[in-house]
Amino acid sequence: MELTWLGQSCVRIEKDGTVLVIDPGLAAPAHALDDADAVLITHEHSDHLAIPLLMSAVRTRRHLKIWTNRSVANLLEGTGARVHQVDDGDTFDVMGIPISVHGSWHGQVHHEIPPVRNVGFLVDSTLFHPGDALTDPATPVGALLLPLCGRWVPRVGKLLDYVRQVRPQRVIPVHDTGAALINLQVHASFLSKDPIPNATPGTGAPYTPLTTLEPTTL
Amino acid sequence: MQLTWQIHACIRIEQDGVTIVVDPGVFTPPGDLDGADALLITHEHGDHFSLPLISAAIAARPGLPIWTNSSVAALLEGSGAEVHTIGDGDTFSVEGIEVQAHGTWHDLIHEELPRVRNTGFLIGGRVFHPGDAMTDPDAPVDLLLVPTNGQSVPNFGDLVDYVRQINPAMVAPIHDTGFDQAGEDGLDQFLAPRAVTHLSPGTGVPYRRLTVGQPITIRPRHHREGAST
Repeated sequence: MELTWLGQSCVRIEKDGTVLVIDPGLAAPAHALDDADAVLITHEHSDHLAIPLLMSAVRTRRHLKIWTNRSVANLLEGTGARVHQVDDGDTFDVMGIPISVHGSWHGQVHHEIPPVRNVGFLVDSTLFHPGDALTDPATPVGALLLPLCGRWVPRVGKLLDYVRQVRPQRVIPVHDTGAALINLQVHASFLSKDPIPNATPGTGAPYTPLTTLEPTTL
Repeated sequence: MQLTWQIHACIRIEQDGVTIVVDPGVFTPPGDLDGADALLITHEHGDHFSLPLISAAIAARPGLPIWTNSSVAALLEGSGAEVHTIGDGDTFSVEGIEVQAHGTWHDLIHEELPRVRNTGFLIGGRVFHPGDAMTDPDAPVDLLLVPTNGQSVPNFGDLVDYVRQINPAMVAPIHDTGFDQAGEDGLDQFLAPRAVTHLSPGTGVPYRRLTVGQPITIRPRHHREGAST
């Protein structure tokens, strides 16, 4: 499986000629969906779903299929998009690639702001994309896409605990809009695999940031 | 009283010819301690406490008075500064400006890491600099300086609750070095006084983004409940 980070929470996955894109949001490049066979959308926030980008792909790629939660499915009703509605616990397959769905709600922003629906996707038992929630898929994970920065994201110590809980083989940071370079460096140090005395207790999993648009093999 | 945001968590306060600098750390440019009559230091982390910078200031002004907690005081032993060790509940006078110390510990970074001491300062009964802890001084505050980005800083929603709890006349974000412009814009939107449906809960407190290096005047005023504007 080949993984390409397209910025923020958008990733492109290619396996055996099938192309999946997860969370084509505002930060995704215009060509993000040009060869997509399927789009998975974790939730409705615009950094995860840019409707114009998706609609343009729906018009030009007749076979494009979309899997997402109930709220996003409602938003896409009547657009001509071929939408499959999924929720926590569901499994489906995209041209032979098995996918399981984990979680139902976005991480809490504030107790007075109603949460939106959010589903995470475990692709081919290899890559877990939680969307905007610290959901534990409770199954072995190869690579965990870890959201770093956002109004709902808790302090970095809780991200460390989340990584320990999921126990992936590697951590790939995503969702970093808003973070200055120094912040990314601090995160990389704090979320390192091994403990650093008085600095971090260590996650136990290698922290392996990607460069956008550069494919990597999982 | 005039307040200038120097950078990150470092501020300069001037009143009646007295200049106090709080938390000169590694991001503070050399020269920003020029003319300081006294230093207040909340805790020992490098972004709040730069020993080379402070040593240079002491060399320029032997006997420079510094108020801080016992951990930082130990680090300043033999520095040539006149160090006053204070802690939660203490009140002291810095050349005539009354300062109260609030809080004892840095907010949690992770359960497996030891906590360092942290002391917040309510300066002149007006400006509260909490250091790296969401401490409630339990007193009227004209300007709350709220840390907004860092390993111990909680999510935006918790910051809103903290601002509401302190209920100052005004709040200004500091400790923001980890944000880029998009991060700052998102923070400004989220900490706005009024609620925006589905977007931000509203703090109820006027929000002011300070400009580094540009002094603002903090006028004597009462707690917001008694204020006219």
